Amino acid sequence: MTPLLQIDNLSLFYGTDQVVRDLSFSIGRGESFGLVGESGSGKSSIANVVIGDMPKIARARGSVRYDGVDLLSASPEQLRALRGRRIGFVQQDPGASLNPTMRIGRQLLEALEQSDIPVRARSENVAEMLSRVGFDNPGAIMARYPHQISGGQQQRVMIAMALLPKPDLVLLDEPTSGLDVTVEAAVIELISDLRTQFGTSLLFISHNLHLVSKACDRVGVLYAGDLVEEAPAGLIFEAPRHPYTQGLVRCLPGQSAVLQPIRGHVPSPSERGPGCLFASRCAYHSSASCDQPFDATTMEASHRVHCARLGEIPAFESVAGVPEVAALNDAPPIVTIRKLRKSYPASGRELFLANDDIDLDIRQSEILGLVGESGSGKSTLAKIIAGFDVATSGSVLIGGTDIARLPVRRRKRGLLRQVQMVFQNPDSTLNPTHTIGWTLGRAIRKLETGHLSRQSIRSRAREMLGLVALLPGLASRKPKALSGGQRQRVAIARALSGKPQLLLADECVSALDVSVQAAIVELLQDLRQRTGTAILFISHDLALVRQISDRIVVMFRGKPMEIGSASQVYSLPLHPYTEALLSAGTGKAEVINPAAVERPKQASGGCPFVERCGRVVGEICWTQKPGYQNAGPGHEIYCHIPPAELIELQKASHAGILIAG
Amino acid sequence: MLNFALRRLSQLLLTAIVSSFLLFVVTEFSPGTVSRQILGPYALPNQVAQLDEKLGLSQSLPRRYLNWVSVLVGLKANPLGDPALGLDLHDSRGERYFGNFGYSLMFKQPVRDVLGEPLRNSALLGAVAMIFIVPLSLLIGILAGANAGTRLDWSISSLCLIITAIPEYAAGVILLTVFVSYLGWLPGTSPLLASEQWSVASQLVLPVTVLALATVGYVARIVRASMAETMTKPFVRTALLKGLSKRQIVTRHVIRNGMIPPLTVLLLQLNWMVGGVVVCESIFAYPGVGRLLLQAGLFGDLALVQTITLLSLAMAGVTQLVADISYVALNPRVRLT
Repeated sequence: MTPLLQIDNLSLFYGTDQVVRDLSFSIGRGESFGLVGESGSGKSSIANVVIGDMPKIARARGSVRYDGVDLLSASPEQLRALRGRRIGFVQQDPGASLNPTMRIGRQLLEALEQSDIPVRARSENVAEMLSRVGFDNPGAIMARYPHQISGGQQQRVMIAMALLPKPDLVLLDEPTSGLDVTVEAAVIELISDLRTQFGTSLLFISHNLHLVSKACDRVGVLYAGDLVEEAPAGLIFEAPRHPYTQGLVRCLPGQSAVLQPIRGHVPSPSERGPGCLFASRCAYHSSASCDQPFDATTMEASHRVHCARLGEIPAFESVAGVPEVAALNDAPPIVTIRKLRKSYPASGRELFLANDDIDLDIRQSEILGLVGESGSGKSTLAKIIAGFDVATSGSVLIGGTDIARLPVRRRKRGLLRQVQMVFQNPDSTLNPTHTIGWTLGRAIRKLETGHLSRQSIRSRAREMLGLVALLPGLASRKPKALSGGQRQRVAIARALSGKPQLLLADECVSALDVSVQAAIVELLQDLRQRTGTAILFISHDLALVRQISDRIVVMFRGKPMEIGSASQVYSLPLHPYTEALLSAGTGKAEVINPAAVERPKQASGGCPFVERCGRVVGEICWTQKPGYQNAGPGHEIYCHIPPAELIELQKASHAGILIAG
Repeated sequence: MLNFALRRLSQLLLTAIVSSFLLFVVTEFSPGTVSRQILGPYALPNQVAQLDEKLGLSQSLPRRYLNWVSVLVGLKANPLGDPALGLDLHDSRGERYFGNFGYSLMFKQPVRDVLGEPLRNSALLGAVAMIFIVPLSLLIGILAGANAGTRLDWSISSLCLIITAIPEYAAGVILLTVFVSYLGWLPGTSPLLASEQWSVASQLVLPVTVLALATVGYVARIVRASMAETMTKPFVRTALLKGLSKRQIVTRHVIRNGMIPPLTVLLLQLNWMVGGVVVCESIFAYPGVGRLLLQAGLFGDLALVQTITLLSLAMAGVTQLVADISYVALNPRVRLT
């Protein structure tokens, strides 16, 4: 039987730049195929070719056959018919993918316009599909506007929309980027559920290797437009053969004890030669065999690798294990947070509590990880410490000064030096009209107390560049000339120029590719060692936080649920919320009620987590606030259930799964 | 929604007070006083000062403003109407009434009597012009924006740019030369009196055309930009992926979203009509408010200038209010808090 989608020797050019080179793969009926690649690998361009929506400057060569029809030579009418009925597409950013001025029901009905279903039955069809993607009340959802539902719900609507015409193939382009971990897990589960129900084929495109290997049968790894390796999903982690895939697995947090970044950068289209594109970053590179075009080698079990020196590449050895546990740090706290509270007026007379009586110490030269889903108040906390926002009540003591209600404009220079921040997006934090040297020099001038000569500022700026492992020559460049990772290094150098006591890093690597991300994490750890700066590392990525942090705080709706050392929190997650978060991250059984995930309501009297908790013990959880219980040295949980009992409960539910399985 | 409208309305009131004060200050500081105008250039300075005293013009600026507002809302009588001054100014509506704009010294009549007829004429001109401007500029803008980057878009955009760049007086003169002098199809002036040769309707053609030319290009370009931007939004791609045709995508998904930003601009064009028709009305000797404003300005008729300016301020406020409210109505995302 011919495959549903067969791509042969596809090359794609944008103008004179080649973005995809000699790509071949196929997807059988009912099969799911994942394409993984970092930014600039051409993965979204491939999706655009399949749906026939390419930019005007694009030229494609090769063949893309969908059920016998060549998509590259199909007429616009043929393509339109395919899109409406046979190929579904789920885009990234569900919020922007729905028309903000049209009710959801109408938008869903439109997806059925090309189908043969009689008009009268369509509404029913839509309602049925909505209930299948997990909405209890389809009628109510259909009457809403997109902004009135949450991001996870929006993505469910998009999935329903793609599935409505009962297509043979659904393309998913980064369907979970921007969603919380728990929501992401629910969406992935929904997708694989629906796939078994409808027998739909999937083309899953993502930068996230974990996710793709979980959701797909086979995985293809893209690098700079080349498909470097194609393998059954299980093999990608266990036995990757291409040096790039091996490198990628090594720099994934949670995969090995130490992150090993891939050095160098993805070659830009003008730097690409005829041979292996990974050559410039490859440890096994030999110009004799790698610099001319060569064919991919097929190994057993549909495992294909595009490498000229495959014979010489050693088999992958995973350095499995947990990250090294740092000795418990007993250094004195440099920041003491007590009863910190921040509330915003919400609808009506209610208050939205972004930070709810937080007590927290940040110790000297430690890396404190702060995890939580969006809306948990982790960024609010960072903003208050940095002075971009002021607390409603409570105190944040640093060196004897309370800065909880001291906005950044009113902070003295000495205080400004002590707390600095690195932001999420390095592209927008650096002024594009100034050189890197100017930006750093200005930070040095503003934070230094004494008068500095022009010469000494310049040498300090170079010194800062050296500190973050950048060449001093970059000082004369503008941000545009730097890669994303280099820009984030500059942003870190800027923050460190005043030798701060505390560095706030709010999602500072989440906009970067994994290979670059690993290098920045390495840099932060190294800087902490060398400068003694404490780092508050805020992220939604659990594996990453574990990799970098000494201690971890798990936040939920403005309240720390669990505080402890990294190994305590990860090896023995006691609080039901931490347990749910970690199981969502690894795909283990969930102890949360998925239908309740998306009801962002504030519990009034009791525990903030009560609505989603799988371990509610009774009325007390709804009516009384729990206190902090000690579960070990430096390990605290915010729960009514005693730690010992929680351990018993966890054992029982794991046993239950074993029996059921 | 009601709450929002009420709050907006109170803001409008505040704006009205502040802007009327500024307007008062600016006109009061213009050269020449009312007394000097009444008494003529040969009057002695002490005579002028005496009249100033009688009219309350020697008081402080805030007091004079208060007097002016009191007359306006009908709390005080206008000192100019005092028969003791012998100026022979009468108001058939009485001494005190709401909306007393004072006397026009140029016409020796109450401003309200002077303004009535031109106001109606200008409203007619503006309404007819808007009837053409709104659909034309939307149509052109949507057509260009939905086909952004094509040759059609390019031609429409450049044509609009050229038309916008032609000032009204130049457009007026060109149209006059072609349609009146050469072809003789249309009348050269528009006194709005039906003559044997030219009907009132034919007299409206050229003024309306000049106004439309000046506005359509500008508004169409704004509509085009907003439409073109909306065309690149992910939800438009979603619609494409549902297999909808281009026409369906544009009419269902792009127009409503793309119309939200240009709406304010379109409504503000109404204001421009009030003030900016001066040139147009002068060219065609059209008996409207714009021409009246020009005459009043040249004569130095303070009360008339103040009144017309005040009316266009009020119009600006009201159109802005309408724009805000329709913005909310078009955009369900705007939270009314």
